Amino acid sequence: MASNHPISFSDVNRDVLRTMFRLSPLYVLAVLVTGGLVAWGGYAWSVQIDYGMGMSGKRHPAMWFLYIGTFVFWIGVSHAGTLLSAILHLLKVKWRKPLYRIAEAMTSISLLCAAIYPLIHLGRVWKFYWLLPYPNQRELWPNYRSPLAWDTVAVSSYLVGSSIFLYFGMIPDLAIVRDNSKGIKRTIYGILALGWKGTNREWYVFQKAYTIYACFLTAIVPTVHGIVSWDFAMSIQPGWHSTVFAPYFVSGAIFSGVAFVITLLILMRKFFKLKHLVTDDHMDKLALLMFGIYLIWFYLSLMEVLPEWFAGDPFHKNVLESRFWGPASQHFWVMFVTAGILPLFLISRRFRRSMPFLFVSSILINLGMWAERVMIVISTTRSFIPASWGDIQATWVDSSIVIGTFAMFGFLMLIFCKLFPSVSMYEVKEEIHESE
Amino acid sequence: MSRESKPKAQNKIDRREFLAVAAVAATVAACEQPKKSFISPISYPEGYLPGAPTWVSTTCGMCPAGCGIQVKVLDGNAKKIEGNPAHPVNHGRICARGQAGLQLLYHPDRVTQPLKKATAGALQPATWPEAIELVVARLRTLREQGQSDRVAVVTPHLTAGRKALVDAFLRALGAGTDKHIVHEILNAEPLRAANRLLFERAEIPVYRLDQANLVISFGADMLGTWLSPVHYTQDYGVFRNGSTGRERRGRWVHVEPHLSLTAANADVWLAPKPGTEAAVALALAHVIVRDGLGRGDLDATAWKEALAAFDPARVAELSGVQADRLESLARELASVKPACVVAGTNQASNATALAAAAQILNWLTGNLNDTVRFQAETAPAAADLARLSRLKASLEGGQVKAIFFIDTDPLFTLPGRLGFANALGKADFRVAFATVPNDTSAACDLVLPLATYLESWWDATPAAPVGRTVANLGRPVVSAMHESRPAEDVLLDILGGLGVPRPAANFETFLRERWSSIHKGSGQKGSSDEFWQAAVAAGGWWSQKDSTLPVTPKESRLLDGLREAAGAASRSEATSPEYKFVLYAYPSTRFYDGRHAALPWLQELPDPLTTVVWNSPVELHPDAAQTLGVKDGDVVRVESPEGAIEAPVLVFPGIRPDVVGVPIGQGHRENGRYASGRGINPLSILSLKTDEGSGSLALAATAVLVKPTGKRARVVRSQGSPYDMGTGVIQTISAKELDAAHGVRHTPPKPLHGEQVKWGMTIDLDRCTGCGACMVACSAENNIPVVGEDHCSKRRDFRWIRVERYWPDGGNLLATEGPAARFLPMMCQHCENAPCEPVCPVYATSHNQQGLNVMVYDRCVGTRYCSNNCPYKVRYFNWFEFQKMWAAPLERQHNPEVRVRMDGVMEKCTFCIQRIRTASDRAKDGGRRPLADGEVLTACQQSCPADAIVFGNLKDPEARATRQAQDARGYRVLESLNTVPSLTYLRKVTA
Repeated sequence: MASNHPISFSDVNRDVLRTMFRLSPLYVLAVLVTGGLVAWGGYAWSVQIDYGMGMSGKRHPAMWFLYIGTFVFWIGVSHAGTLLSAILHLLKVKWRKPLYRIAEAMTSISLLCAAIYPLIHLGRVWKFYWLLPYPNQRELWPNYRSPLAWDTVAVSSYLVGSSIFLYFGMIPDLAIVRDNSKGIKRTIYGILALGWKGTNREWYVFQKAYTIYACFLTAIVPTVHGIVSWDFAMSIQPGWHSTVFAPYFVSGAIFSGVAFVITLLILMRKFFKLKHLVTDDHMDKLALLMFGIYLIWFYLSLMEVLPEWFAGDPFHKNVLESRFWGPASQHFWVMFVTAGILPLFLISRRFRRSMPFLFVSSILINLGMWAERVMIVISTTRSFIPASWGDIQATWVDSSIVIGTFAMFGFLMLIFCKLFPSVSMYEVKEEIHESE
Repeated sequence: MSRESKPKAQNKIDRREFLAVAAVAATVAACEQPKKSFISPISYPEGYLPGAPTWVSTTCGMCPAGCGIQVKVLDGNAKKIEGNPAHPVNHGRICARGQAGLQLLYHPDRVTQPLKKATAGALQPATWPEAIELVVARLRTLREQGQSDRVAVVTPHLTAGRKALVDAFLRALGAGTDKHIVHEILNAEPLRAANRLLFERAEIPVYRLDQANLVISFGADMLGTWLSPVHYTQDYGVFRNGSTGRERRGRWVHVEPHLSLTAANADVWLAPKPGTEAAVALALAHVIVRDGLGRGDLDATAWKEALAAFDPARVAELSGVQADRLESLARELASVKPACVVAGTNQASNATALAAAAQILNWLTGNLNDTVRFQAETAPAAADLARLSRLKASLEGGQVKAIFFIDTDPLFTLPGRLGFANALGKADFRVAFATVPNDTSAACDLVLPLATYLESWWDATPAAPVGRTVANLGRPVVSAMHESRPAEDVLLDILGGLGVPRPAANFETFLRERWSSIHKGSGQKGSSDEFWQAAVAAGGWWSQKDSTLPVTPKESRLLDGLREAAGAASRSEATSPEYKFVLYAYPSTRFYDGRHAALPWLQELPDPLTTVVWNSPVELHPDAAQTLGVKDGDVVRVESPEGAIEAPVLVFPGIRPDVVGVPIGQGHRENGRYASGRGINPLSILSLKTDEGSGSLALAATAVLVKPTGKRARVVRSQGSPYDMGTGVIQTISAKELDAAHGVRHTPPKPLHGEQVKWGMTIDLDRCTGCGACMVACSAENNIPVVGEDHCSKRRDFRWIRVERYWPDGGNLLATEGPAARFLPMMCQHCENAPCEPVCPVYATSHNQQGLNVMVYDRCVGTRYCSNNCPYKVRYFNWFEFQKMWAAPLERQHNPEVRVRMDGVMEKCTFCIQRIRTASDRAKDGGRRPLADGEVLTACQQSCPADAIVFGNLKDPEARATRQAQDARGYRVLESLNTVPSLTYLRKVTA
C-alpha cells in the first residue's frame, strides 16, 4: 500500500484531531466570508418572497431556471459521498478509507443545500406544506402522479438516510475525540459517542449494521437521482422527455460529485496537512474513478442527442439547435469544453497525479456540470409552439441565491471540519493495520 | 344552561341586530351621496336587482364607424362593452378599440375638473361656474368689440344632433357654420371627391363584400381601421365561406406598399411603389378595355385613348408589379362576378385619382349598383388641409380670436410644418374639452373635463353606410365621473351665460326635439315620445329595408373623370437621391389616429402584424436594413425636410424595400401616464403634400432619409419565432386539396370527459383576421392585468388568448404567393389528456364534470410545472402582485364574477366558466336542461367580428361546434402528442 513510512495509530489520532477546534485567522476569514454570502443570499430570498417570483430571472416560457438547475447540481454532488462511503465499502475498496468521511459530510451538506431549492422556487413558499402528506380536515393529499411529489419523498429520505449514515459511521471516532478532550467537550462528545467503548461485540455489531446500512444507501443512489431526472423525463417537453435520463443523470451526478470530492480533498490536504493520510495514490485512484464515470456520462450524453438528431423530430431538433446557437448556447459550450473535453486529459497518469491540474479541472468540471443542468432546465425556451419561444436572463436575486447556497455549502463544511473528525481515524488505522 | 338562555351581555349585539344596523347604515350612506348613485328611470327595468348586471344599449364613440354597443352595468359601474346584436353595422360584434372604451371612462389621468391657465402658465383648478363665466366674459368682450363671429370650433367627425348643436352654437354667436371645422386626419375624403367627380354623389358607397366573389382593395385597410372595420370584417367572415351557405370562397387581392391587416389576410398582396396604386388600377382598366372584357356598351375608342398610357408593361415599370400579374388580375376581375373594387384612403398624393380609377373599374365590370351601391347620407366632410391652413392664417391674422377644441388633438395630428402650434399661441382664448389631457389641451387657456360617450346623451350617423338608414343614439350608461360634463351641455350653458336665446335647456331635450323629426321621417307608428323611448332602449333607430338607390353615371362624365385621374395617376411619390425612402405613416389598428394611445389595454395589445407592444418602431424591409447596416433595436433617425424622428428599427418583411413604415398613434407629449412621451409620431414630420382631388393631407407621400445613430433601444414584441419551424402548429389547405376532400368528414376524437356536457370550441382560421378583438374581450371579461412595457419585455404579459402570427417559411413576403400571414388564436385547449394535470403536486389543476380543465387558484403553490409541461404554453404565472398595479379608478371595470389572482399562482383560459355558470343557472331557472346551443358565448367568441370562434357542447351532435369540428378542414394543434384538445382549428385555405 501507499505509505513508505510506517504511521502509528497515535499519529493518526494526533494528525486528525489536530485539525479540529483550533481556529486559524484564515479559517475565521473563510467562515466570515461564506457566512456573509449566505446572509446576502438570504436577503435576496426575502426580497423574492416580498415582491414576487418575478424578482428572479424566470419568465415565460422558461418557468424554471437557476433554482432547479442548481437543485439538480447539489443532488448530483451528494451522490459521490454515498458512492465512496457505501458502495465502495460494499465492494471492499480499500483506498476509499481516508476519503469517505469528507465525502459523506459533503453528501449531507449538499443535500441540505439542495433541499432548500424546492422551497425557494415555490411561487407561494408559505404554502410549502401542501406538498407534504399531512392529515387534514379536507382530506387533501399530494398528487402522487406528479414527479415533484416523488421528489419530496426521495430527497427527504436521502437526506435523513445519509445524515444517519454519516453520524453512525462516525461513532468510534467521536469516542476518540471524547477520550482526548476535557470538560464540556468531553460531555458533549460523550453523549454523541453513545458510550462507545470499542469492545469486540461493539465492533462486530457496528460493522454488521454499517454494511446493512450501506446496502440501503446504495439502493438510494440510483433511485434518488433517477427520480430527480424524472422531474424532466416524465414531462412531454422536448429536451426533457427522454428514457435515457435516469442513468444519464445518475452518471452525471457521480461525475460531478467525485470532482467535488477531489476539490475538497486537495484543499484539506493543503490546509490540514494530511498529505500522508490522503496520499497522491488515493487522489490518482479517485481521478481514475472520475475518468471512468466521465466515459459513461459522455456516452449517455451522446445517446441523449444522437437518436433525436437521427429521428429528425422538429421539436427535438429545435431544442438541440437552441443548445448550439440559441438561448442555451452559453451553457452548452461551457459544458462541452469543461466537462466534455477537459476530462480526457485524465487518461494520463501524469495529469492524474498533478494536484494543480486536478484541482483546476475538478472545479471546471463542476462548472460544466452545473451549466449542463441549467442548459437542460431551460429547454423550455424552445417548446412546441414557436410563437411562445423565448429567452432567459438571470437577475441579481437568483444569482445571489445561487451564490448563497454555494457559500452555505462552504460555511457548513468549514463548521463540520472543526466539530468532527474529517478523516475516519478508525478506518485509516484499519488500512494501516492491513498494509502492515 | 343552554347557550340561548344565557343573559345577553349589555354591550354585545347578535347577528340579527348587526345585520339590521348594517343595513340601515348602508342605506343612509347610500342616500347621503345622491350625486353618485345613478339610477335612470328610463332604462332600468322594473325589478332592478342590486348585484345583478344590466345591459344598456348605446352607441360606440371610439371611432366614427358608429357601431351599436351594449354596456354591462353593475351597481353603477360599467363592466364590459359588447356589440349590440340588433345593430345593422356590427351585429353584436365589436373591435378591440371599441371594447377599450371602458378604460377611457375609468382612465386614472382624466381631467377631473375645469382647469384654467394662471398667469404663470400652469393650469389651476377652477369650478364650473368660474370656468363658464370665464368663457362668457371672453365672448362678451368679443361681442362688445363687434367680433363675436371671430370664434371657431374644432371637432372630430360629428354628425346628426351633435353637429346641429355646434352649428346652432356658432349661429347664436353670429358666426357662420364654416367656423365648425371637422378634423379627422384619417378620412375617406378622396373617395367622396372621386364619387363627386364621376357620379355627382359625394357619399361613401355601401360595399357588399359578403356578396362579392372577388375583392380588389387598394390601400384601404378595411379589416383594420378604414371606415367601418367591424362591419367589413363581418362581411369578410361570410366572404370566406367558412361554414356559411355561400357557393364559393371569395378571393381577395390587396394592393398597398405596406402590409396592413387587410393585406395580410388577402390571398394576394401586391406591393407597388407608393403613389402608383392608381396606375395599377388603370392598368387593369386598360386590359379590360383593350381586350373588350368589360361592359359592351362602351365608346371603346375613347376609353382606349384615355387609357393608352397605362399598358401593363409601362405600369409594371412604374409600379414594380409584374405585367403578367396585372394582365391576369384584370382578366380575373372581368370574369369573376360579382366583384368589388375598393379604394379611397388619404394616403397617396393622387388618392382621388386612385378612388376614381377603382370606381371606374366597378363600372366597367358591372359591379356598380351591385356590390357597390349608394345611399343618401349627410356625414360632414373632414376638413381638408387647405381649410386647416386657412384656420391657421385666421388665428395668426386675428380673424379667429377664441377657439374651442372638442375632443380633438390637432397639435398631435397635424404636421409640424403647418405651424399650427405657433398660430394657436396667437389666439386670445383657447378652450379644450378633453377627457384625458392631450397635446392640444396642454396649449389651451381653459381645459374642461369632457364626459365620455358613456356618460352623455348624443347621436350620430355611421361613417360608412350599410345599406339601411341608421340613426345611432348614445346615452349615459353610468353617472359622469369626476366633474366631467358633455361639451354640448356646456356650450348651451355658455349661450345662457351670454344671454343669447339657447336652442334648448340641455342637450338631451335638444336631441329629443330633433328625434321627433327622425320619427316623422321613419314612418314609425306611435307618438314621438314612444319612438324616443324605444330608440333609447335600442341604442338608436334603423330602418328594416334596403335604402340604397341606383346611380346612373354618364359615360362622358366618367371619361372626363378618367382623363382627370389619368394625369395624376401616371407618377409615383417623389423621392430624391438624398431622400430615398417614402415614409409610410399608417393608421395603427390599436390607436387609430392616436386618440386611443392613452388606453393601457390597447398599448399592451400586440400590433397584429409586427406584434410590437407599447411602442412604435421604424419598420424597414430586411434588404433596406442590410443596406443601411442596421438590425432590430438599432435606433435610426428618420428625417424629412420638415423634421426628424428617432426610433428603434424593426426589420419587417411586410414592406417594400424603398418604404419606411411608422404606425400613427404614439409620440404624444401629453396624454396620460400610459402614452406620454412614448414612441414617435410620424405625422409630425410629414410634408404638406395633399391629395390633389380632395385636399386631404397625404399620409404616405413624404420622402425621407434614414440614418443610423449608433444608439440602441428595445422593441418589445409579444411573439417568439415568426415561423412555424417545421412544427406544423399552423396548417393550411389548398383549395384543390379541399375540393378533393369534399364530403370527407374530419373525425374528431370522442370526448373522454363529461356526462351530458363536454365543452369544446372550433376556430375557423380562414375567417380569423388576427385583429385582436378577442384579446381585449378576454382581458375585460377575466380581469386580466396589464403589466407594462418592462414586464412585457420579460414576457410576463398575460394573454389567456393570444393571436400568434406566422410568416410563410423563408419570410420573403413580397415574393410569396398566397396569404402573407397566418394567424392562430392560441388559448388553453382544455385537453382531455391534459399534460398539466398529472404534474401538479397539489391537484391545483384538474378536470371537471363538463370536460373543462379547471384551475384552482387557491390550491396553487406555484411550482410552475404545469406551464413547463403545457405544449401550448398557455398557462400564465403571476410573477408579481400585478392586480395591485391598477391605477384607480381602472379597477372599477373589474368583473365581479371573476376573481383576481394573487402573486405566485398560475392562471389560464377557463372557457369563461362564469358565463357557463350564469347561463346554466338561467336555464335551470327556466326549467331548461341541458343548455340550448349558442346559449353560452365565451367572451372571445362574442366579440369576434369575423365569427371565427364557435363554442358549444361537443356531446350535442347538432351543436354548431360539433358540426364544425367535423369540417374537412379540421385539425388539432400538436395532435401527435395525444393531448386530445377540445379545440379544433379549421385550416386556412390557400389559393
